[in-house]
Amino acid sequence: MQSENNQEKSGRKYWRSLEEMAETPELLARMKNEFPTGAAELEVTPGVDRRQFLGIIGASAAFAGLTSATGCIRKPAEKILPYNKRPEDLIEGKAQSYASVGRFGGSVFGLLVTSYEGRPTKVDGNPSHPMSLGGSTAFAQASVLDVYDPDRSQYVLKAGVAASSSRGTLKAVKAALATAAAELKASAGQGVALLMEAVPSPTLLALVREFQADYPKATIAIHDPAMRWNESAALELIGFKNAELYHRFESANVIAAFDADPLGIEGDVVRNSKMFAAKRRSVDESKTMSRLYVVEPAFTNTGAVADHRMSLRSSAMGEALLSLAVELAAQGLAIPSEILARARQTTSPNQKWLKALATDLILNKGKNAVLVGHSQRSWVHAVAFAINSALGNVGHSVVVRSSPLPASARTLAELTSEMNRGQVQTLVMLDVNPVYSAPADLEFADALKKVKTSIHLGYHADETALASTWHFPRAHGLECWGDLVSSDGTAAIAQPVIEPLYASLSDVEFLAGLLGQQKTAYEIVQAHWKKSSGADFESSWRRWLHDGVIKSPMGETLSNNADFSKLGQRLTGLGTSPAPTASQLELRLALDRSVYDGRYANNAWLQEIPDSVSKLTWDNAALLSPKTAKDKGIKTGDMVEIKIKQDKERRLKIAAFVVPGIAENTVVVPLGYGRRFNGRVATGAGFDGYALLGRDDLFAFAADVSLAGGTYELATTQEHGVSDYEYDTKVGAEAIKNRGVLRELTLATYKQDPSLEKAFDKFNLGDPKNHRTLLWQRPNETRGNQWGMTIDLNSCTGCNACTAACQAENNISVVGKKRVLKSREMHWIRIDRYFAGNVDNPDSIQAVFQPLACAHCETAPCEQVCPVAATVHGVEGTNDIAYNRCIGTRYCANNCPYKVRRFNYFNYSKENDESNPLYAMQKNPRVTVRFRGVIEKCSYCVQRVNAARIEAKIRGEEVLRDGAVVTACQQVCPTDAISFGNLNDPDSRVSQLKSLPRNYAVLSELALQPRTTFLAKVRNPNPELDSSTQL
Amino acid sequence: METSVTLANLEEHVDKRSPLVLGKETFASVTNIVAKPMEMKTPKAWWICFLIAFSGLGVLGASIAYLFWEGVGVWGLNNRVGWAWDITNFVFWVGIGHAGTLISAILFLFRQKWRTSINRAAEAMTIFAVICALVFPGIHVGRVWVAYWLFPIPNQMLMWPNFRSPLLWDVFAVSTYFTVSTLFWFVGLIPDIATFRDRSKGIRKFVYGIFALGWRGSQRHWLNYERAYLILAALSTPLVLSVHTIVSFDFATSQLPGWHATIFPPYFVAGAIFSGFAMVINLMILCRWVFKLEHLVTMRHFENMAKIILLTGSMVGYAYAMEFFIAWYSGNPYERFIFISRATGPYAWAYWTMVTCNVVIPQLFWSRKIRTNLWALFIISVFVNIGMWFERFVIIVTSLHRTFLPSSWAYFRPTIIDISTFIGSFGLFFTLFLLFVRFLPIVAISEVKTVMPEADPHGHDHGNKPATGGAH
Repeated sequence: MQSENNQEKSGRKYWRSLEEMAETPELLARMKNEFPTGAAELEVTPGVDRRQFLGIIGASAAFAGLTSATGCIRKPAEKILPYNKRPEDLIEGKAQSYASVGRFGGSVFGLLVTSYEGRPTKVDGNPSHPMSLGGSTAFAQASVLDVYDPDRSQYVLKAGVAASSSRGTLKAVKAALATAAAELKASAGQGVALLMEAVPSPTLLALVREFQADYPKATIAIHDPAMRWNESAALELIGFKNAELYHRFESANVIAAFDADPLGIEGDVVRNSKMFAAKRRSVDESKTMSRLYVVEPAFTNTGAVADHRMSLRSSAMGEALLSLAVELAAQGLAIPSEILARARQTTSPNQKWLKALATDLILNKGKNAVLVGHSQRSWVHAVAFAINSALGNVGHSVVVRSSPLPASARTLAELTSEMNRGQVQTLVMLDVNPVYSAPADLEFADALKKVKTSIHLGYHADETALASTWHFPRAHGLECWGDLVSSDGTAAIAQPVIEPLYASLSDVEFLAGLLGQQKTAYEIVQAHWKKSSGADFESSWRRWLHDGVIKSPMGETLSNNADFSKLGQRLTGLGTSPAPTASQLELRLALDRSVYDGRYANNAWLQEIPDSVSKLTWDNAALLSPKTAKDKGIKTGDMVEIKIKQDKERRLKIAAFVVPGIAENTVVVPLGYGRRFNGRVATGAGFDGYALLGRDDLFAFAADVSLAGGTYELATTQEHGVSDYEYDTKVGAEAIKNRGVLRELTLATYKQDPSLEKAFDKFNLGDPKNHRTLLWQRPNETRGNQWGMTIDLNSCTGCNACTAACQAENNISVVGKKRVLKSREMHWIRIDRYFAGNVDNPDSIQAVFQPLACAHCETAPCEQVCPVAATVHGVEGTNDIAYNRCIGTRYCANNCPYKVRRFNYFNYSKENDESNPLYAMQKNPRVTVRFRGVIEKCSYCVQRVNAARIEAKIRGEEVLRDGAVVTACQQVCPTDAISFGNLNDPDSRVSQLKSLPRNYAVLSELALQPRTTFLAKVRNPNPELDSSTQL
Repeated sequence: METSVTLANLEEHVDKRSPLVLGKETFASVTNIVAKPMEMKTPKAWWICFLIAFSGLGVLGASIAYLFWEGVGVWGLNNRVGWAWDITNFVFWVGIGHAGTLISAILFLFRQKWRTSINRAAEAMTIFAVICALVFPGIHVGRVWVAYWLFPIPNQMLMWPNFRSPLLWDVFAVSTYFTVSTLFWFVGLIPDIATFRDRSKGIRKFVYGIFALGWRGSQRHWLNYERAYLILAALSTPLVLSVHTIVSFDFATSQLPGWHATIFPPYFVAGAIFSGFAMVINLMILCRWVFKLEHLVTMRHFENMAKIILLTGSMVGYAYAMEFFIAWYSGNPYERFIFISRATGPYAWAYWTMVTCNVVIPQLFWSRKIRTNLWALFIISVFVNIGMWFERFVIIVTSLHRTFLPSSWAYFRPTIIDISTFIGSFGLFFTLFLLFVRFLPIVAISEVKTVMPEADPHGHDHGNKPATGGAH
């Protein structure tokens, strides 16, 4: 939370708003009347309204801050306020769940929001929603923290300055909006433009159509940092108007991904991961698995779990795909001749590899999918579609669907040139931040100056907000009504779980307000759905809200009537991309796994979550392969300057980070960092990659990378502070090899002999029967619930969702970059990433992920050494900590072989609260907030176990039924890699998984008998290709 | 610097014993020599030294205050390396203490009479070193305000400490050691304090009088005194071995490669005696020079101590070699890894500092010339203590920084507070020691007198009379 820098500032800022919130009686009176119609659904407490409640919460927090500032009171006194009239259906301390829907990194999926006394504390996937199936992502998990973001926009800004009169009230916001609407109206439709993201919200898009009706000459433009427009353009090129692709991994036995990350941050990652993982787990029943080929310039989550991975620069993807088409044609597949004509001229980067892939694809005709990343140019998508079409995948694993987005939408580049030509006088920007995230060569900020009136809605007073004529604060998705439709056509209603913390508007309210409509979001959304619903709207509406899913799908699936003639024309004019050299590297800009395009940059959880592969926190860096770095004499932490010489030179000074798996002579820069607005988390984190971004591609040729002098400290959670990276990697690799920490087999070996002992268990101690006599009496493991967990390495994609979910569930503090540098991060579940293969050959590099939390050892080394018996064995086999008994000798952490124990070196939770008192509202009331000087670690979500036990007791059950307890990491996991349950029940899922031959305990030879075991990874390499490197 | 007189007792002859007190000292002159630093006007040099030491103590106090205020995070520790300088310093200081007890108890039981002129200062050193050591386990815990939970105090929670934890054994071992050492020291002091009661006036006389416990030097007093002294020596003797054995259990009973080793108890005890004697040499050289004790603390004393350093240093060296041998012989890959990593990994500099200081440099003591050269003795002893500090650092930090899972490898860097706390602990030590030399006899007067020829009850020469020589 970088509280060292911002503590004072935040404290002062907070108190100022507190006065406004709690100390003016007339303000309170106004707020009382402020609830929109439909607020009844919000479970609002009669008598004490939520805002007053907030005021009191805030006041007590501030009071606590005051007293602790004097330093006399160690444990702050807090005032609580009971309900004097309890709402009928509310039990204090009991969580309430609401179904909603959200859009995270290009995917729309259903949500279940947990709320305590009106405070949303956790966001999870909605199991009934087909795009989530209960899973979610780190973005979704962290979105709840955004509600309490201290830097979210609170006031209407006029020309970047908060309007002076009665600011911060909804009435003032609405009045300002009316003024802005009048300005818009005055333009009489001349030079009006609307810029928004590709938000598939039926109500909002209906309003956009109304906007178009009111202003027929208006330009509607869509800004999509993921560049998904390439896909739509490709579909248009081959004859599908206004369409998009939807992938069904459940019917794909072979997946070939070209510069795509369908399991990481591109598209419907949760559903893709669920379906993909199911096809991997089938190894246990049917000894069959899907096979994944990935061609990419840098490790994505998808690439890390690939059976075969080829390192290739982004600019050569199209040619690789054309070569594949040639191979397929050579093996008898009917590839359209328009493509082949051009394709025959290309030389493939790795002929043998593509040939094997082609054979595999033909063998699994109709049951595979060839994917291309959004950032690839449209013709590459079109070629991929042609291949999919020839393979008979279209309609099965690859589905073309009509897009809900406006058909005539322009791109940001087109809009910018209109602005530069002076054709735009009034620009409406709906939750976009183009001043920050527009490609550098568009020079959007300059173009914006040519617009007379710009009206911006945004969550932060960000770069665009400050450059606009009007800025309106946007409400969080958990604060307002709305709707979204997923890529498969499933629609869902977003319902609020909390009144907006600050006077702010939803997208729908904002656009409606600009159109002169004085309705609330609730009215607008309901009115929209009333139109399309049957007679009994009320009951349908209630069901939709309850289920979180609207059953009848929207949009339509298009039949495959592709016409490749235009593609042929495009291909003939195509040159070849120049191969990068050691002096002229290829630059690849990528959306970031932690902050996406920068929108999550002010989210402390996401900033501190280590990147899946580089394990970087709090920063981005220019990623280089060890070989390229060596050639250029660059070391991790060196400052480098990247220069792109095109019509105007683009340059950026950025720290370098050397990591295996990057294509040769390529430099990868994640976007989304180096924000230039006053966000206390985002400020100072990383470097702004947008400075290098060109309008057409996320990649660029001829990047000149040179040492800029100086170094920069990068905080990683692995290879912490290693002085000699090369030495450490070498020694580390040797150590992993000897230790059997990771166990990985090929499908062929697994089929021959599934038993793992032979291959890995050098000490022959894997079998508990071989364990020596134990000094201590074994706990009774045969009675009641005995908890255990399995983590399937075969499923895990290293997506970090578990780490984020654990942080949200267990009130885990953020420590900030300085302390990550000191190896003091607090995450209870971490994802260890190991590489395999030859460092100098990027094609041979593979990555393996191993999520690791406390393994709850039967004979736990930590329990024996604690001098005060603060950590003890629970009767249900868990390794418990009594925080209040812990005196903090750290002996347990020293003796833990898995190094999963975390120590509160400072009073982190207090610091977190001081940096922003609102963060306290996110805290899970069922989990103790840890004080300075105590150890903490995974508890197997003991609070959830106890909640389930209470439920069971009420029902009169002795033993909890399987599935009654779902840990936070298990719940969120998009690949269902984590199972948890009762080991005494032989039918429980976890018991069944533990009986698999793949099951093994990490460091089993220490005879710790951990309750968490792992299921070995099985890769399915193509026998025609060299089998992947064995770990 | 050395005269022939001071070197006169280095040779042992078959027919006669070398004298332990040189020169023509009498009972009275011995008392006067020892009393001089206590009875003279406080010299300027003492004040300067005391000011420096006391500032060091202030640094310790400030460092601890800052630590208490902010949290253990002010040190360089992390989630992988949970102990570093704190426990290193603890083991270092406990180790130093051992020489004192060995000299006063074990050498007493073995009738090593040369011990008499150094045992008082060595015992004082023990107590002050244990005080320094006790600071660290006390302050290293995360919640100091509940550190008393380490003691088995009946409480409303009905909670006892965990008797299986070696840390708790430490609490008992070190507190017992401190108590017994203090008692032993005090009992030994009684006759000398009585001497000073009789020699001083005013408030001093009163204070010494209280601590002299009414000592009159009667036969019965001497009888009881010698009994008590013997019993306490017998009680202290096992403690010399047990305290560091139990301290080593902190590591040996864990399951961390590099810590989990059965060799630790003897290896730690040898190391403790090794470092303790080095510290005694340093302190005695200074005291002897400043307070002109050449006739009481003779070169023979130093030579004997150098021999013990040579012996224990070789034992420590043997232990280092054995650790490597066992790491290889056991076939345990984790064990092998950590030892190779110690010698070649990121902390190789610390490992080789340790080996150089502890194994290589003390080998110089094979040469009598070096053994009897005070400058060499002083410098080598300083190196031994540097080496022994590094030994504990190497054991603790290198084992922790690369444990079982390569994902959790880290590097420890000390902060300024780590350093200031350690330096401050020397401030505490020297403050106490300077007060000791000013207010208490640094040589056990009554004991020294027993090894002088005058104390020999035999009328004729029984081999104990060096000066008179003559026939048997």
